[in-house]
Amino acid sequence: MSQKNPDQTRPLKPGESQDISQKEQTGVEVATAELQGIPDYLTAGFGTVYRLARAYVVWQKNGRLFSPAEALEKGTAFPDLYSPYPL
Amino acid sequence: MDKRLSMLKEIQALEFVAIELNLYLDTHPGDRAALRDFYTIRDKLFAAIECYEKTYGPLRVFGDAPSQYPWPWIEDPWPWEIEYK
Repeated sequence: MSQKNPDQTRPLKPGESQDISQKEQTGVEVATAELQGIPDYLTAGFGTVYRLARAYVVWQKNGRLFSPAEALEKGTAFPDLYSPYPL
Repeated sequence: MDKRLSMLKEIQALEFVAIELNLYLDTHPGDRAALRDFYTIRDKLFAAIECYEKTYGPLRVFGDAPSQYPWPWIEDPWPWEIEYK
């Protein structure tokens, strides 16, 4: 799908605010008018442009390992990955 | 029967740790300690499997179980019939 306004998806420059429309949001017409060029997955239907969640993964360090029997029971061989709480 | 079960459990535990280390090494190929752990676990795993297969029959159809008559692969217990409790 060609985006009328490709700028919407480039990363924000420092100091640039996420909220595209500076004007006060007065009514649905205004909100929908502004949304014309913005892909819906970005606005999630709320008018303000939300940046998708940023995930991060901490780099795993090797260390002590559980013994095989303990690893099988705990579900991982790495102590720092083990969490007894049902996430 | 419980000797057989304990050997099976040990094989499962060893294989689990081998897979864990495999996944770790995929992202840390240069980690010497993990590599050493992996190869020792792998050797232990093969020894445990061979020992099991020699005494109780094939765990793998193309494994190291001694050739037997009749065809041992279809003998009981089948994997899902084994009670581990």
